Amino acid sequence: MVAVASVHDEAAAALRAVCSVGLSGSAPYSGPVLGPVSWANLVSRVKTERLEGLLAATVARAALAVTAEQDDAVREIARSRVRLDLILERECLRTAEVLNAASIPFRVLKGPAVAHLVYPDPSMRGFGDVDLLVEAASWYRAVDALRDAGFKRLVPEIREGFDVSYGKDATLASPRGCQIDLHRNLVLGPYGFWVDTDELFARPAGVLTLGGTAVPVLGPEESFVYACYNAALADDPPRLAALRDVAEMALRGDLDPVVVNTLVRRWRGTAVVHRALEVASRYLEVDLRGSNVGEVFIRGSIPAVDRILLASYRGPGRGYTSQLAGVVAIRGVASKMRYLWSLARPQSSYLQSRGYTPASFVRHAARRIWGAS
Amino acid sequence: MVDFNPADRVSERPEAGYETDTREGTCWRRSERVLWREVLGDVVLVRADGDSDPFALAGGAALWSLLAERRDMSSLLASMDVQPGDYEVKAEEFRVLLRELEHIGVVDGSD
Repeated sequence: MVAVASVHDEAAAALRAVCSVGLSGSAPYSGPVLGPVSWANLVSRVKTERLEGLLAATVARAALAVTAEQDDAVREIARSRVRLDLILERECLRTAEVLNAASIPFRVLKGPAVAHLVYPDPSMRGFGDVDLLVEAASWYRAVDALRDAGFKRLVPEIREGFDVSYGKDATLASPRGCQIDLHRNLVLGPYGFWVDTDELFARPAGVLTLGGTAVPVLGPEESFVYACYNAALADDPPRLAALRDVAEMALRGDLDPVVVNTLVRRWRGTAVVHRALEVASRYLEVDLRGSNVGEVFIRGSIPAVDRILLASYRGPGRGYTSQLAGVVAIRGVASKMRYLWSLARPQSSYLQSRGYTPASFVRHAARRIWGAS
Repeated sequence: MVDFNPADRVSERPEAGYETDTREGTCWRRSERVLWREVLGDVVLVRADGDSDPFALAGGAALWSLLAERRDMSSLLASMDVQPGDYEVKAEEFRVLLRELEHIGVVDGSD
């Protein structure tokens, strides 16, 4: 058991070094060359977390000692990752072209936007899909335009009309088989409902130029807030790339904390940003408290109500519990009832596409929520 | 993934039948329509349009970096610290490679 623990510890320490490489104030790593088991463990985690580019940067800076064989392996997996990233960027441009042709306003989120506009080198930030945000008012037009262009929606909406009122996103497969996440909102649950996506479109867009084409992205402050929501709410445990995004943006020092604070207070997301900065600081072992946004958000304790709501985004049933918690953010009894009814009784096409009957869907949800684990 | 190694290309050249670019004063630069990443001294490239697969230019990061600006052969050779005695060989090697990249559409060549 000691040997197993040691292998995991070695790989975990190396993974942390990979994830924090190049960040201002990150501690230098002085671990030994990893043995085959620890190395395999590290590579597996790196691939799962899409950190191949950061691993390559770590090796390039000699911040992780590797054998010649390991060096070759890093080159190979880093190349594979950027190859996929480039294919996704091309798919992003094609999706943007469809939306532009239909005169639908959009913003490119996460992956390519963050890789190019935030990281010192885009190869340091891998991604697995293309994310675009559209306004609620354009939602069905956007879905139809993409469908007409050969994109396939993988799961129908949970009930007719749900998407535009309560939905977060729809996953589509492009004609070339890439995954496109079309977002109507940034995250599920209460913190998602409190985000005013129309306000995101009213604010000035940033611009990302890919292959000579300019595509709109969120502005830096909005992008930072979204990175925090993504890190604190989207996955449990958080994706390491999401934590790195938060640290990368916070440490650049070019965010206007007043703008961030204004947005976040309006969207009741102060605790989300606080938590994201805290978790990123702790995992990456960098001091984000000293950054201009850290000074504003990492102070005091998170209020009890927010602690409860944040807890709904954790655990194996978080997809259900955060959606149930979302009811607190919906205005009006009738709307709350409609929302809960939709969650409890999805339409049959939705259930079929996910392989459920009405009864098995309820059983599955109950198991996830109450952890029949 | 296709892997271009400039040195390999020179030895392959006679069999591959690449034509030497005889245009005097040709300048090259990266195409605007290319998506790319640099990884450990290599560059991985793909056209932003079409369905071509990404390919790696092994050891090509330095050359790719220079092609951010429009350059002629003498500027490339000077910037790559090529020794005067190696000029002809290296110039030929670069011409073959650049012509291939131009053909693929990731580099623009102009007189």
